[in-house]
Amino acid sequence: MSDLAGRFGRSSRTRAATGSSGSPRLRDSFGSTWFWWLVLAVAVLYPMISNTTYIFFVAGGVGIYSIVGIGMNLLYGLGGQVSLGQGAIVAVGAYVAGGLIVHRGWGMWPALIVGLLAGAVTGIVMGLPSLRLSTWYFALTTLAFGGVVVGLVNHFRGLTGGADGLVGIVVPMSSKQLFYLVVAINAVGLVLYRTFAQSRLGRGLIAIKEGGEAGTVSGVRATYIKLIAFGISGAYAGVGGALFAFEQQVISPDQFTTYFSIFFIVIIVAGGLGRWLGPVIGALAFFAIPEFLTSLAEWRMVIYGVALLAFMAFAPEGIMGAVETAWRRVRRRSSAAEPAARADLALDPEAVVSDSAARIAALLKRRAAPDGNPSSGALVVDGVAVAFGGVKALQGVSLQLEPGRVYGLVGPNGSGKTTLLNVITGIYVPSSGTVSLDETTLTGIAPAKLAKLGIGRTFQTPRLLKDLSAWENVMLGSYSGEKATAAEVLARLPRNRRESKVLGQRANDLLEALGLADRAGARAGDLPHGHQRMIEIARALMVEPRLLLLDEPAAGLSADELEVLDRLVRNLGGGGVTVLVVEHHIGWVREVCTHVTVLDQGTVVTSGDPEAVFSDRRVRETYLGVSA
Amino acid sequence: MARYEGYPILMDAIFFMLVYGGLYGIVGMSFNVMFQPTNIFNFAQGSVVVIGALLASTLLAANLPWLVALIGGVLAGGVLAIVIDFVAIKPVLKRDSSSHSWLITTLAVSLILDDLMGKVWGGEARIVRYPWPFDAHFVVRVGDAGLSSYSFVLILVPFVVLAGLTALYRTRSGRAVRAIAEERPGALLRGIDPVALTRSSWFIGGLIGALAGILAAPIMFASVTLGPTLLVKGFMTVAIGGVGNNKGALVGGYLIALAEGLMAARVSPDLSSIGTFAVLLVVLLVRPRGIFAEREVSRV
Repeated sequence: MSDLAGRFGRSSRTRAATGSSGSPRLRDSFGSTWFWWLVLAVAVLYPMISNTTYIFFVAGGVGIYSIVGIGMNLLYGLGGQVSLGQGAIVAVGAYVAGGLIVHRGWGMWPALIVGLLAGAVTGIVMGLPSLRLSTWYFALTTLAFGGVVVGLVNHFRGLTGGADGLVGIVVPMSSKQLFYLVVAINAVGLVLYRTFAQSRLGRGLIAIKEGGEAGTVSGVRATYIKLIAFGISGAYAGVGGALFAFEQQVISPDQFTTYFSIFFIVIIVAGGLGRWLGPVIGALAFFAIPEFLTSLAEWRMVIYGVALLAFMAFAPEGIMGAVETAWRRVRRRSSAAEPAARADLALDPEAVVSDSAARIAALLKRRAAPDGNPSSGALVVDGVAVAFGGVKALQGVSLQLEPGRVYGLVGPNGSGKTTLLNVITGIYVPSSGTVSLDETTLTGIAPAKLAKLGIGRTFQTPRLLKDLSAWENVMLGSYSGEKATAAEVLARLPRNRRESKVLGQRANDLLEALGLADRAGARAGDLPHGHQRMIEIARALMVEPRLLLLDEPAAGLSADELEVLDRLVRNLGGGGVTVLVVEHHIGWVREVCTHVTVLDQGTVVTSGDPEAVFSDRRVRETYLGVSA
Repeated sequence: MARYEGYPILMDAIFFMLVYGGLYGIVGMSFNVMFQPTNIFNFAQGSVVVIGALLASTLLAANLPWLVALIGGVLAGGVLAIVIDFVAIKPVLKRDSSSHSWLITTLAVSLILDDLMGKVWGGEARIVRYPWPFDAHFVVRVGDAGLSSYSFVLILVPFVVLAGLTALYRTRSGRAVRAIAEERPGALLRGIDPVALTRSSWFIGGLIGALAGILAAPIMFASVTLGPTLLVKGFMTVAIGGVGNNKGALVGGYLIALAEGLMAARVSPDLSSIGTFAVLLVVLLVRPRGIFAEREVSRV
């Protein structure tokens, strides 16, 4: 009885939540960071109150570090790319802007803009090797790149002043006015960072950092996003460099050492890697505080080093994370024991699926038949063979899938089922044979381009971005479907806003239809296995697939969850989507599939109507392990 | 950019390559030794190189024999490498064994060490005397360029190190290290203890790194700035030659030293870093895993 009561209570809660729309993200919002905004307000107000040139000068410097840090946080915090050449880009921005003012008599505004552009271009050039190199390789090439920039500065003495420095960078602004300019640019920088982080670009960049196939099957183009990230973070560094030149009035190569680049790593790690305000808080802590502890100035480097070590080893969430954890601990102690938040996480088919059949059908209708093409979603696999060394994983497999039907692919472990899915999704290139969808040849097309062609896929073990919310994971699936360009996204132009709203709502609808409406804001990595599967399916459905490939979707599901899956798959077939299910749960395959193919040792044993297939003598022998 | 005594004027880029290429190669080999059992690239290796050079310079300044300075400096490097492993790598790997946090923590250690060494030894470059009976006088001369007797030491030692390492990897422990590098889970199942092998590998890597610093000191001076220079050059040799391949590191060393020497002699010493960077990029573009990369890691 208690089970029934629990179920009743839960379903009413689920219904209550179904009205929700929003965009539940785990990352920083104004609401969750109000305390840090308070800190920032104090930091900005302090120089204004003290109103001395020296304080404005120092605060301006801190703000410049913060600008460069925000850009680097985008690259390292979101994208996982460690650059040790950021200081060199700052140098480029500083010398370009400074040189234009000193030698060409330019005004500060055009010099600032050209400094920004120079930084962006340098960032992209420096980032090119990263397209082929792993993390630490890339870190070292950027380190070497720093040497190149210093070498250039020393060589072109006529323009840069060489080791003596570039002297006489005069701008018509006082330290006070420069400080205000720096604060304003910080504000713009923070908005841009947040826009990026919350857009498909941010989700794509995180997917690239996490590696694996989550991004690839959603159509994330790694090269493109990485270069955008390098360009943007370079632009931040370029602006920072130009402002640095304006503030210092004299710049010389010994200001742009490797340590200078490491400082930016220090501030973003100290503030909180990948946190919205992380670099600002980090810059405040690491550059402002020592100014007031002048007795320790001599030990500053050692303090930076020790702090960096300590944060990495003991508080990888940085100052922001450490303070928030401490705060939560205090609050928990003061308030009475809260009722367990995650009381029950099971899916409830009655509560969710009854009215969702029509909903899912409606969700899928749009894409199912583009241009009224009746052959939409027909997959032809023709004589595909794959060999790994001497092992022949697939030996001339052929399949024909008609649109809008549910197909089953079964066979013992190692029979080549997943290999076939990998061939269809472009992860493996077959040694012979072809795959085509509606007469478009798929073989040889990069995996990331297949999402755009309307192919969705899930994996044996769900490939989710664990640190993002369920909703954000589903949204990743819309990557290839978004029409707004990167520029539109970053400028928040109307088309992008409209589109995001529609897609966000669609992600919510899908989650709701799968019974996960009240989990939309949960961290994906914390959810139970069954929920992760459903989220992955929702992500695949965001692609608006003509063809959906499900790799062992029923494995590890509870009976309730299986029922949700069952209704979903039936609805998909009815909605015109071709579904190919790889599955060991024969009872379910028999029920849900209209057509079953049996693979064994890389060849098709038999294929046809489920009843006929499973009563076939060879299938019973080779697969079910019973002799007839 | 360190200043080199007798910077090559014209055709002696070849001599430059022979002398400096070997030095860079030794640093590269020290990276390889540490990388083998851990898959970690020690960004604080520059400090290991420097501690060798600076400590040796102090011991020599106290009129101790060269051999004592050499042993003292090299041991300091070995011990420092173990300390780095203990302070910067163990704690972060304990937290998350798959993360790249070691990149940041080894950088942090180099930040601390470079500053402390600067405080102890001062910022000035220290002149280090040549080990008797070798000196800077040319014994081979072509035009303005030439090779001193000490140059021949520098040309020879890298091959001694290479031969020593090759012999070492043929021993039982050496084979165990290779096994860990190639197939970690399998090696662990066979009862190979990665902790002890890591410690000894890092000690040996530290010895070799410090040796490079000590050897470089008479011609490049001993100073903290030696670290970043040789760190970057050492990395380039490894990237060009293929990570883990000691022969490759030596070849890589000669390649970048040649590029550096040619650029410095023909164009401008300031731009030599562009020459080496270009060589690095070209090699990585053509062979992303280095010239002597043994195998592409297959995708699972």
